Amino acid sequence: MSAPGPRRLIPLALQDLAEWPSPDSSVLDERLRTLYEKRRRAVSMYAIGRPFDEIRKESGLGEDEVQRLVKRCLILHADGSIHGFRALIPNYRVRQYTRHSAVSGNLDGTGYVGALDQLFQKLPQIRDLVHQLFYGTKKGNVLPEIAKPISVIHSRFKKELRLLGYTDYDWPFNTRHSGYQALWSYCRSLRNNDAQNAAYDRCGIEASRRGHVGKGIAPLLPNIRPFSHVQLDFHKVDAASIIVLRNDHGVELEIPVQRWHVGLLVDEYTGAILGAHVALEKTPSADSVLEVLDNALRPEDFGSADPRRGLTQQANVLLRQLIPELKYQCFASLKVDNAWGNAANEVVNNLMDTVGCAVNFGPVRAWWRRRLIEQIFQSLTQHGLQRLPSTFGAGPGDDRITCPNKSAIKFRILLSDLIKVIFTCIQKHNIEPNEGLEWASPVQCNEAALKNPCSGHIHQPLPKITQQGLWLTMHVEEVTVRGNINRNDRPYFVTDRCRYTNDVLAQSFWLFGKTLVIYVDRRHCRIVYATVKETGMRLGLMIPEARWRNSDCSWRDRKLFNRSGLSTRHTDIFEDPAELLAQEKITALLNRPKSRKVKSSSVALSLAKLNRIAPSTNAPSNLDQKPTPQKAEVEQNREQVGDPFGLTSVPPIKSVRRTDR
Amino acid sequence: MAHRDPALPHPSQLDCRVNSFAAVTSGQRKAANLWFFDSPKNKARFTIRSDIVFMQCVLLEGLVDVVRYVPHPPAVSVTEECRSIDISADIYSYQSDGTANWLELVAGDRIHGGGSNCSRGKNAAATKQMRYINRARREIEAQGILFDNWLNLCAHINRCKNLIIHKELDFIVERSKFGSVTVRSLLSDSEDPAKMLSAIALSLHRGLTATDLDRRLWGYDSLLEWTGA
Repeated sequence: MSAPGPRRLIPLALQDLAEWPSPDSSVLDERLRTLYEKRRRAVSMYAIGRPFDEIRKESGLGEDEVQRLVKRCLILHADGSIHGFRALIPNYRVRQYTRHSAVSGNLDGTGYVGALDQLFQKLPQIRDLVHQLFYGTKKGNVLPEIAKPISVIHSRFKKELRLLGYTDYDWPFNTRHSGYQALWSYCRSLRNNDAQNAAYDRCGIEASRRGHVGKGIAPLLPNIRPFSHVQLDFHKVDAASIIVLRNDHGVELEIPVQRWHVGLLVDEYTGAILGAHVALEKTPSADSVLEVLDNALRPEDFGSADPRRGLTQQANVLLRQLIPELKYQCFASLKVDNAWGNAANEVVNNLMDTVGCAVNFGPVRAWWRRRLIEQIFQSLTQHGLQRLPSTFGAGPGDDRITCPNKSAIKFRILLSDLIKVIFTCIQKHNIEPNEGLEWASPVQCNEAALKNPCSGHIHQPLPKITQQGLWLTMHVEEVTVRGNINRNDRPYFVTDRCRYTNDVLAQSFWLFGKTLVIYVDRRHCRIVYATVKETGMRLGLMIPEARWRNSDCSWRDRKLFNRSGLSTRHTDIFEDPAELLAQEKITALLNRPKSRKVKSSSVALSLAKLNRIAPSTNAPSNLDQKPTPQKAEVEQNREQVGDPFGLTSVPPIKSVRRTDR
Repeated sequence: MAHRDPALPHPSQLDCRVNSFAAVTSGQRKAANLWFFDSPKNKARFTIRSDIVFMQCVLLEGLVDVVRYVPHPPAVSVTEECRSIDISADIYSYQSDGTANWLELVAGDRIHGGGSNCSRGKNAAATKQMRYINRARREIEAQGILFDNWLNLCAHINRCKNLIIHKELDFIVERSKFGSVTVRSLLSDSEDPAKMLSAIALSLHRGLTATDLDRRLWGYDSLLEWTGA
């Protein structure tokens, strides 16, 4: 009877067999499972020092076999630990096959297993070459190529071997395909073993970025209650639309509008859309970002003619409209991307001063940080805009695209029509159940959370005083008080080539040369408040000079006007520069040369945006009008209103308007 | 149209504004996560790189004995093998008893006393007479509920930072002295929910009252208790 010897084979650090990796034996078939359990019993008995006779009696395995199995278990695995009990599974490979004997094939073409590895061991420079070609690594002055096909790598592989003196009698040239299959398998293993490295070099930068997604690591920031985290992003509208102008002869011209954007603010926990803004700009600006935020906070109602009521003419689209208790509801953090509009100083600082939240800018090009909002945009697009005949589709290869601009003209798809479609989709998203919320809708989730005290969802509105005068959309700057006491020029200040004063400032000669902090409403540059920087004394609402006094021009647009020189050269003192600019753009569009290709126009987009700020009958009065009524109806209408020559018949104006506050 | 004078901030309150555009568009931040956060404890607007440092900063807001902290402090030079190496902590924190801490946050599991980076950090902390602390991602992740509670509480405080809320604060202290009181009952007695929430958050922030923020989401049913501080 053999006595138990010291268990030298198992190191001290690995004595605890409970720490050894082990397989899920329940998935093995009965035969393999029986054999595996027998082997495991033998190794376990060995580890605790049972005599080999006892082990043989229990498991049927002799001393040599037990020691062989133990050595297999202790071999290092590629994941850094040992193979452990995994090595006891029958036919389990613990080491990669390494060929030692010389390569000599059989008549039937077999017998070359391990030949490539043997070649690489003998000629490491060939292996390095294959790696370099596969990964596209730059070496010396050679221009790297990305994603070289395996056939090209194989050609180069053969060429190098020929230069080293390999003949048709040597492997791989003595095989049917000159080792192509072996090389292909090797390259595939390179890709499997280092997928991230291979992704960048063989599939491009977008593929490599996708390596950050689905790593199996839970995100660090918890998302455990509504309104803890919200996401904001803009999306380019995927359909063409037109504006309609009438020239001097009464002929209507349809002008395709350059693609614009829609911005959304979304709650990360429930996916509810809190705010939405149509940004009629090529690139969303800081103003547009602030508009999205303001739209989410301020309880604005959509008027009866507002296209934001959607196709169903419903006033309840956004969450604060569907749950009125959530008006002015704030949030704890906002996640945005690195667009310049988001990063603007006044966006971040005004938001933090008003809402008190933290603001996060994710890593560059890390769209997965705001996966929810990207998914919502995709859904809105697929269910709305991409179903229109004027869709731009999912990309250039999309078969649905058939001349979007021409389709927009043919089907008379107005800008306001697209807005209706978008807002209908937004409403649908907020009220329809979805799988992500276990077949509840975002509205239902919010209502349930408000009723459940354990959910952590509470009404957290803005302070009442902040609600009265939301200064989220204020631009702040410092100016110096001007004037001249010797000439009796009363105090005033100038900003953006516009003079401001009021009765308080006009009497305060002691303020000459002092610095004022002014707060300009970005939406209406005529609304300016001033405070003395030194003392904090409030001077109240300022009065601008005459030409800006009745203008609804925004602060940003006024800067653009000044840049173009329009306001200084062409305006009469009482004319609204915004309206004049709009008129100029209309003239430009009507006179633009006709081209065979129907091109969208950035001027038309600017005009559509101007129509919001100058919706009077003077300037763009013929935008977004309803389809022309039939001639008989027109005649009848004229006669009815006593206008037989049609001098006073003006098509109804349909445009997006902001309500007065 | 009549315009009411909005609640404009005092010019001095504009000094904390940050140059977010420069920070975000800087060529040096290719991959870094950026957070802009108003710290009630420091009365400053911080620019924080990385989620883990941001989370730790928010957790520090909840520690009453921490009087202030500094995220991303400047690097410290340490001599090692006759060469100078710059080591920087993730956060410096300062306690009311005068203790200064050098916090190092690691993305993986805790480094168990070993590792050259850990020893360098310890040496650097020693040169500044600071206590060296390292925290692993897993530890911070385990405090997810506490973090979310304090993130929301800091937002309540910041929303009313320019407003006077001493009446609400006194009311809370008086009510809680008589026994535990729920957030719901305090809100039901207030005219402005935002100011009351801010005062409740401040009372927790200053350690005047306490509630379970480790295991429960802060909300209407949170029970505030007077701490006697």
